[in-house]
Amino acid sequence: MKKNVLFWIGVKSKSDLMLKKHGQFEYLEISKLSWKYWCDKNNVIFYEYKESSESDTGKHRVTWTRWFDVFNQLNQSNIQYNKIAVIDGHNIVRWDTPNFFNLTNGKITAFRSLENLKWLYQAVQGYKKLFNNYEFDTTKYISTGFQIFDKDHEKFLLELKNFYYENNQKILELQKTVHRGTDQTPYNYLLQIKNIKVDSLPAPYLLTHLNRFDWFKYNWQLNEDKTPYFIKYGYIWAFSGFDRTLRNDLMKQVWDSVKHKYE
Amino acid sequence: MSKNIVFIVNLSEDKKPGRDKPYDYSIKSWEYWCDINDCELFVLTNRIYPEDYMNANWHKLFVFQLLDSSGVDYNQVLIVDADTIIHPDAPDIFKLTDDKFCAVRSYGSYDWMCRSIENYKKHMFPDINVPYFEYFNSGVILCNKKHKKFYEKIINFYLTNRENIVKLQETYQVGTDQPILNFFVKQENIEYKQFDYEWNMQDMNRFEILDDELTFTKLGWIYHFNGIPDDLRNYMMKKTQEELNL
Repeated sequence: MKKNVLFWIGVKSKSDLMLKKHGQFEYLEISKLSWKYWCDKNNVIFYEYKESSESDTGKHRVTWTRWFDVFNQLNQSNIQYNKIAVIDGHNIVRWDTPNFFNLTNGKITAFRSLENLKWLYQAVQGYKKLFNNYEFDTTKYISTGFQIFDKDHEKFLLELKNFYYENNQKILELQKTVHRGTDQTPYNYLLQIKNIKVDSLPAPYLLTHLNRFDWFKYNWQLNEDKTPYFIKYGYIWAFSGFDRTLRNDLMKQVWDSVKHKYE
Repeated sequence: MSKNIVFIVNLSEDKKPGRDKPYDYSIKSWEYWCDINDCELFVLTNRIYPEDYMNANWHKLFVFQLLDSSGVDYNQVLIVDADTIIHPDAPDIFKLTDDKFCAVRSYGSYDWMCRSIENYKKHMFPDINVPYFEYFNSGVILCNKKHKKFYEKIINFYLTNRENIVKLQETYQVGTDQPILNFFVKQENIEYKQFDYEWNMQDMNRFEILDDELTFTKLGWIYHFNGIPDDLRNYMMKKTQEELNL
């Protein structure tokens, strides 16, 4: 019988650059524990993406190859899937998060990226030439860190793959010069150019840039409940938007405070 | 013939000296936009109640009474704060409303926002739940004639509960009209349409677009210069007005 799949990005790059950025990737273990718990509880297959199809993950980033590998690996593993949620390994899911697969409707499900808008603007401008000066609608720019697909979207990801390899030199050069992420902006351009329909989930299903938006705080005026807002009001907590060398420590602190809920 | 109205409260306050200095830049931008879009700008410059009885923000709620008493024949009403500037090329926002009460979600510090929701719920609206992602910023509100009674209810609520409201304002400092308006929209089951951030670009500093290149002008339509010190607000509003040639 077909099941929904959580395709969790857990590749530990061996490149010096990535190791320097991410420490030893200890945070992945925390994220994995939370998601395994959630998948068990919701009858969802937990699939760990731990091996990229490209051996040189310094050159061909996992952020790219995940899109080329997701359907291939599930097919090769003979997994009978229905919907697939692809999620970055720097997220923790709250223990009681409702089954979000039930809220999707056949479109790609994703979240608008509304955080550092200067970064976003520069990214869109930086990649504009690569897409023949396409008039990009910034109000539709999504974060690629958490998306839900179904079988119909395999075609789009294949087109993305073809685009990546056909334009590989230019893309790698832009990654270095524009310095605004890897897959996310080209992915967004192609989504709009190919007119792919995107829908979203309610906001609590992805909280990002927790520090920027003061999610770590609690109501210090009433002082009745010291639970930080992100735990109280959010379902999926993305530990992004800050110095990545802090990620291991921060996720561990959070995990230590909530892990008893996952037992 | 009835027209769509843009309503701005432009009142100076002794408690916030100099705060109104850049409001002229706002008004100029709205004047220009109203001309292009065949709307009428209505600016309130005289107090209805003295400052120690009602601050400037609350005066926004008198919009329908003021329009009626001035004999203005209106259709939809856009109530905007005087620390906003609209881009001259912004499309006609009145065409997007579907005849509903419209606003933009509050964006910025969730510490401020959640305290605002939780504190007002505890002290004033214990039975009403306002999810944080529905909580709107009251700096840009669209409404129409059918909301007249709704606004009257809030005014009466203020006049009846003024002491408590002022006490909450002063104790917690998490908004004036905004929290009450949000709870009232829920309590009265007002149908509410949420606009995108581009129609009320709040806390632009936090989004890293409040810069000398005026990056924000390339990303949206209504710029709300809140959450920043007065001198930066003056500087940015003046610069925006000059650069947009208003």
